[in-house]
Amino acid sequence: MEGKKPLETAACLHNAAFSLYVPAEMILNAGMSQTPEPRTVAAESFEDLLEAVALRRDRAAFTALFGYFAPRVKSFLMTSGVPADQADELAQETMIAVWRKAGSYDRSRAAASTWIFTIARNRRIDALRRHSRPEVDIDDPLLVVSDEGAPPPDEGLRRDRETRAIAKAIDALPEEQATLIRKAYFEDKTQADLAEEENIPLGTVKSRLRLAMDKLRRELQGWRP
Amino acid sequence: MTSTSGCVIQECLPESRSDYEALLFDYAVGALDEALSLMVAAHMTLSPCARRRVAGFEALGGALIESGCEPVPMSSACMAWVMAQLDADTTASEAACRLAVEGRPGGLPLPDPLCAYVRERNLRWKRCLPGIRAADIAAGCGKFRVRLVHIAPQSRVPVHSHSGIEVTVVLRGSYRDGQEAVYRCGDMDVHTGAGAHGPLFTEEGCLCLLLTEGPARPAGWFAGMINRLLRF
Repeated sequence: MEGKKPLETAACLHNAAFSLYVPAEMILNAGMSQTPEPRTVAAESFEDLLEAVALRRDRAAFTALFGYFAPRVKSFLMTSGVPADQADELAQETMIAVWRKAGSYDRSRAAASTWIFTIARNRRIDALRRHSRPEVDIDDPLLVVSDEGAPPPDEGLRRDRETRAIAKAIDALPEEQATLIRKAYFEDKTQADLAEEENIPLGTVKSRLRLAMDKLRRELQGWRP
Repeated sequence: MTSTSGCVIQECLPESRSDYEALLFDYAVGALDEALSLMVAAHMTLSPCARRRVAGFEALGGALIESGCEPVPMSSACMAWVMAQLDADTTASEAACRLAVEGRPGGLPLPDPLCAYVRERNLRWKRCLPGIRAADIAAGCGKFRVRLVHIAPQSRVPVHSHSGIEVTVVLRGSYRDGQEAVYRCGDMDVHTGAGAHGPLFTEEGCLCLLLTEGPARPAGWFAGMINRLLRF
């Protein structure tokens, strides 16, 4: 895959798979503007765009992903306390990693946004904490696999809907729980850090998060961490 | 005490699992120290259940990035710069350099994330108690101590407590903690706070990855004697 030249993106865009989507420029413009873009623009497409990057080194698909995700990754990093300049750089690095690692993306395991979140999170750890992050190698011969069987074949197709359902369910949580979740993800803080910052006992942080997770489990069918 | 034995899908997690859950959550969020991250990554290699949990927590991060934050426009030159990088990008896809299981340090079944920290020649096994050997692993720096611990069949670790967190991942074999909980290969055992636990007993012997924070305090009247031997 790596040795191939990028294919003609125009041809790709005429593939049946892409006829569903609004042209990349629209997504790009939407992502670059401050106005809330209609979420339907990218509906059912981020996972496909990522696969197009993986399989065909498709630059139009990558441009669309960049337009949508780079400003969000930058926002995520800035909320973690990264200054704007450095957030630009790290968001760029994140998107270049998306290009390079797209081949290892597996839509049956994660939504595109989840996969991009993990890359951005790891860049943030590198940059702010200056240590590497031990990660599972899913091709490790020692990996113990589930005996639950393979996920249903349509699981990947539901990923983006699942993502929107999760976002909605987080918004519907009691404010103190939703705030705690956002802080944990966006501010790079352990539960002990959060307890200290909010000046509440660690047990309270843990129980609020547990209540939140229990509620999300009830709300979201198929989300069972 | 928290065990990961079994992979039961529960609507509501009992209180006792909250320390374990918190560890997986903090790992997914990206807030854990390197040493604790290593413990979680080793555990996840051996536990599909833990991988599913972490993936679920990561999905929250994906949802928050996609819908939960106000996009901040990139500087205008960024896109062009990135596209130019793609032109220059000739790196082959990052092929993992993976050790065959039998070629891993000491011939031990060490999950891949652990191999990066263990050099065979640096594994200095020291006897701690009858039947127990341990070797330190340099996993980042900071307040945690990470060790590989070999416990011979039919061996016992006395009741003890810690001043901080203690995390054990079973890499081979199994042990019993106290009267009830049994930890098997892949399980993670998390203790926080002051409560004493043990005695541990292993019939078949086991190899564990152990993280401790602060020295162990043996409990009981023979504490002083054990303390010299244990040095946990």
